Amino acid sequence: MSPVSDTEHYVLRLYVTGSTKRSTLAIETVRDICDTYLKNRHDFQVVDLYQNPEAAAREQIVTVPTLIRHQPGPLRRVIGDLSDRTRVLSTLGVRAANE
Amino acid sequence: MSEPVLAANDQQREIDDLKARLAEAEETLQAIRQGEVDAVVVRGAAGPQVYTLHNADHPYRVIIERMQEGALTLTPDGTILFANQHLASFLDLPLPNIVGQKSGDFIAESDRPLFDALLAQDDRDGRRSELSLRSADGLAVPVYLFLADLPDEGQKIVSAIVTDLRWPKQRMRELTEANAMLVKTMAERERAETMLRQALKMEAVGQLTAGIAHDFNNLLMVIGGNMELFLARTSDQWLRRRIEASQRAVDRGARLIGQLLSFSRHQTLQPHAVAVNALLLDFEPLLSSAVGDGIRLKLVLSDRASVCQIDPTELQASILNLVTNAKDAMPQGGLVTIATEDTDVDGQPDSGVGPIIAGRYLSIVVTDTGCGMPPNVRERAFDPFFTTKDVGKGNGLGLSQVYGFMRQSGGHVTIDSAIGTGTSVRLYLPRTTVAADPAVRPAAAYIPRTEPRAQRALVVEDDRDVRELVIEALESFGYVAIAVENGPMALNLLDSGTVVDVVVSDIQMPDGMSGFELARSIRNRLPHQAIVLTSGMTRFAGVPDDAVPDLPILRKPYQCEDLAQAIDAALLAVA
Repeated sequence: MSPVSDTEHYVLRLYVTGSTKRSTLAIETVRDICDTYLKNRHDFQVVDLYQNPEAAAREQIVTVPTLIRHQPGPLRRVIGDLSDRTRVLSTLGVRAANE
Repeated sequence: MSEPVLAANDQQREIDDLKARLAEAEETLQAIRQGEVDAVVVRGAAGPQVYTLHNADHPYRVIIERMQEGALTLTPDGTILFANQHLASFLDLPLPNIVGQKSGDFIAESDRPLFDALLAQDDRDGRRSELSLRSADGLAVPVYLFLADLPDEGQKIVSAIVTDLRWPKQRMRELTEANAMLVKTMAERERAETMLRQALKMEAVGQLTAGIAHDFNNLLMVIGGNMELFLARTSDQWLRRRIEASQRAVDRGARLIGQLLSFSRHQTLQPHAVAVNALLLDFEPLLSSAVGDGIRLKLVLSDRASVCQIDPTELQASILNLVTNAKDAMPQGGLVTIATEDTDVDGQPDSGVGPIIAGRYLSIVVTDTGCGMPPNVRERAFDPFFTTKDVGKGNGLGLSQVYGFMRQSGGHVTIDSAIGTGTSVRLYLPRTTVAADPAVRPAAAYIPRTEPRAQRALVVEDDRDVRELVIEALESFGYVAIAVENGPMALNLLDSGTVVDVVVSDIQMPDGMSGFELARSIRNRLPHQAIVLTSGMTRFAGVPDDAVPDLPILRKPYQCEDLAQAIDAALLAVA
């Protein structure tokens, strides 16, 4: 388990493929997490690999969608089912207030 | 067969079967790896589902990216799931900073309630509206938004098309401005046409009156001149009283004709370079007495001693005219102000008749605190014969005279007036850089009569009656008079060796030679020939090109006395 953080600023980047089901679910999930747990302390960007294929090579994306936590360090990746909120929260190291 | 052999055959079959299945699986994987498939069928929760791979939906992606609108998809609570490049350019932001954000962030604050309402509606209502997006630097981007539900496995996704309204709005603004310009230009055109029509009307009336005036002057000349001769021949008191009464009538007639002529701009003017402020100061005592006791007269003169090329006598007559009108407008008393100031004109004043040429003017403004004029009176103020005064109190020629005089002098006149506020008449006199003529006095200086000697005079006049009268008058002074009808005859006479002491010539004559031309021709031959010019009407504005400088002009009808003085002055000038 990575260290839990209450006040640190999060920089998140989500890599998706257009409007596929998985991609849109991932977007919604991360959006929700930002609004609920990281209010006013996040920078969230969504990179569409259809628009920007070079990004895949640069960040070494193998499966899509992939969520990368750039800040706080160290870098962490979340892959697989990103609609599972609990799993995402845990991998990102975000403490839920009522846990 | 033994069992082991049967088992081996079974195993072999299984192996073959497995090989085939493996080969098929490898082929499938290979095909997928090499991008040779469009889609993959996957066992989903509700049965087989088709998953499309990238290149299969390429045409649709191209359309979405190439179309001229912004396109996006949203969750019902406004999270942006997808956006095209066009939308990014509307908002002036890169796509990664747009997708995944809340759409409200990109809508102008005042339009957010409208957008939320649109999002909450369903497709049965017309889900479209004009609203403003908010770009990266906070600018409002006017767009047209169209929303529609995207059916998607039970979950509601909303698609939106965003049309740029900036350029149409720009065009609309430009069109509106152009329209306003057009309306304004048309109004100006109409105004100019009205002014032109009015000026043409005045011009036409002017032409008419000028023609009549000239003939009348000659008639008055004959009557008045003969009256003078009668007077010199009789001491009978009863006769003398009748003759004097006739002379007074001729005088009144002459003044009336003078007014008509000045309105028609056909009056003979003698412009000088006049320092206007000095002229007004000189004239103030006369104006004060004209204005009477109940009214205060105030001069507010500019501190520049500007000079104008203008007939000083006529100018004073015009000012007197305006001051008299001011007095009549203030029966209970009041204030008349005469102000001068340098005025440079480059536009068109609103309240004049006819256009004013741009240039440098001196304004003389006569203002009263009287009853003022309603608009319908103000518009007709310069019309000849238009008067609001009672019968016998005014003939309606005063302002038209002023108008004619100003136009003929290259200037302009405007009226500003409102009921209850008073009236302000502004004269525009063209300024000149020439220095003022020294000691310009409006009244002609009195030249003492010399003793009549037996001198010879040549009379050049086309009107028979006037000619006979002038001969009669000259002979009464003691001159020997020779008379011809026109310029060429006069030149022939002089060329043939006839010597005369003075030439008295009318200006307007037929046969192609005017008095001016005759005077110039004579001067070419005989530089020291005394010449007197007379005029019943001469049409020119300002200083005419063919005028002979320093040759004074005697205006008809004139007294015989005036003729004598003019001849004496001419003789003195060449002595």
